[in-house]
Amino acid sequence: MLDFGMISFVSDCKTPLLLFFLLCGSLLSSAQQHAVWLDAVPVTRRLFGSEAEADVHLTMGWSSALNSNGWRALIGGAASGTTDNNFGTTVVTKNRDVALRTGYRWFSKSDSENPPRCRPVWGADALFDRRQIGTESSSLDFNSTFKTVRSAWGLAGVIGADLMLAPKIHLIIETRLDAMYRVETEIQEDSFGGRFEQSNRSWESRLDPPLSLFVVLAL
Amino acid sequence: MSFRARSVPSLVFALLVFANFAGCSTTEETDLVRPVLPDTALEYRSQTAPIFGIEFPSDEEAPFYDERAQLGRVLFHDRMLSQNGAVSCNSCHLQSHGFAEPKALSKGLRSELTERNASHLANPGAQHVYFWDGRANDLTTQVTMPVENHVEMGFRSLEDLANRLNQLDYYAPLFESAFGDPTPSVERIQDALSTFLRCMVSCSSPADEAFASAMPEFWNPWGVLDGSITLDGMNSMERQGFELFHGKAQCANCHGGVHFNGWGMDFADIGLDPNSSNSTGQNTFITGGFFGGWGATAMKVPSLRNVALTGPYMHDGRFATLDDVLDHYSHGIQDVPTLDMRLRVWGNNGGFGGEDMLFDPFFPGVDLNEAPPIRLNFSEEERTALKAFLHSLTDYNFIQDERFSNPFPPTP
Repeated sequence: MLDFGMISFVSDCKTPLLLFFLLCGSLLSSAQQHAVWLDAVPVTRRLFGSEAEADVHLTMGWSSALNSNGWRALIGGAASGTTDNNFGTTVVTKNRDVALRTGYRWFSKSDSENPPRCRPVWGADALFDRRQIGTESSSLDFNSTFKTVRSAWGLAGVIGADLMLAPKIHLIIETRLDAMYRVETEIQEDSFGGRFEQSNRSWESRLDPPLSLFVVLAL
Repeated sequence: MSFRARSVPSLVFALLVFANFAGCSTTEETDLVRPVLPDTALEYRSQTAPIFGIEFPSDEEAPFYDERAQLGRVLFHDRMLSQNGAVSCNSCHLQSHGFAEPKALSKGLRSELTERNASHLANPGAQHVYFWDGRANDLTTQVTMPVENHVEMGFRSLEDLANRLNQLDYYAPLFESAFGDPTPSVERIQDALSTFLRCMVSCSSPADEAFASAMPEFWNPWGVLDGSITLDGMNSMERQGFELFHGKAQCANCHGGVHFNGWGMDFADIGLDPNSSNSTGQNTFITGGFFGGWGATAMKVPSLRNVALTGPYMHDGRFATLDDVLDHYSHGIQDVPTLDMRLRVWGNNGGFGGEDMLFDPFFPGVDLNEAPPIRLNFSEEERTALKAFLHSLTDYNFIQDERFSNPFPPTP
């Protein structure tokens, strides 16, 4: 009756995902040198053992140009889940997060032939974020669910630094200021027929710390 | 064949519809665990000596008192009082541990840890403030605050709780006998739970027997100290501990009164080490309550009844044993700016308490910031005596009292 699955979660994001992949297709069909982006932080965290094993977290993307101004699209996802026995009640907690971010980037010096080794970069993004946090609790005589679904759309300003490690390998770190319209829905249900649903709508701004370290590779 | 091919999906659909409706069945059709209760409610009013100050309303003042307390007992032990049916009040307040939990922090309905150590329950009716930060000063409304706490029991509102109870078939007769009406309501839930808690009287420890025998009318520890009252019911070690408690060890400066709870309304910052590895790192801010004026880091002075059973100790459960607690007061009090003045040495003669407890505007020569924390440096004999006295406050009748026990049979 209640679906916490990834399929349901992703299907709720289908419109933003479709737009995202259309944009990626147009980027790949353009004439400039494309690049693929990979957030190295979750990978390195995992390598050094500081990331919880149950947590899956990855961001990747494409850009229309490696060394000059151009479009960029990122898709990020996170998933985690735990199962716990709490006084005889099995409590399954699942978190899902998908974030899409597309926009244009400008280099302080846009030179596709002789790019400087290090240069500032800034940009503007449109973004979509959908997060679902929920628990399913079940015991011999009672089941209940509690989940919070948050969808947010907005714009973001981006500022960062580009370091060219090799002609086709760059390292980029960036920080972002997001302004988003947020819809948060809380749903509670239980096997006695109890149901509660409430939505809150609000504007939100947040400063993302520079925790994304992207390895950018020429395609 | 074509008939079969068409009818199979129809059959599956019909089964699904049936299963869907079956999923919305009443509690009659589930394996719901129900409480096992006596045919008539037990007598919940306890008779105690006047010294304990425990009074109960008469039948005229509070009709069906026992039935209300019995309903409160069921509510207290019913895990359906949490949104997901995982935890009840007694998940964190275990009778065998003096209604505390032997863990620093407790797990709430979704296994998240609570912010503070679960308070033990003994004579909550003799308390005037509740929770470590004193944010509640009325037992009737306090009893349902954990129900709405998103970590503890997780109900969105108390009306949702009343609706939940309305769906549990065993509550209608209990509400009927307690209130003359089978319908649960927020006020009735609070009334029943708070009535049950007021009935949780713990006044029959060996020490209590001695107190009631030696000074049945009035609490008079000073009479014991000056020798005019003899606590015959205690052994010499326990008596020595009692005298230390009210004398050199200065415990009674905070844990005063016959319930050893600061007369039910005291708070103190006792100079816990904020950098201790045993600290759970929880902030200690008073967020409300009538007595919030004690300071942002002050915690409620808990009752010491059944204290030997209620470890770990302090608001964050940092001390596992009574020895750890005695170590703290013996030589571990930290010189934090917010340290309670009763725990500083700042009298002109090196003493503390009395008129020296008044501060600068009244006694200009006294500077709180220069007064060091007290160092009681208990000897081994003193520690043994203090522990003997604290152990004599254990009320074994209370922790085995059927009236407060879990009426729900254990689930397989």
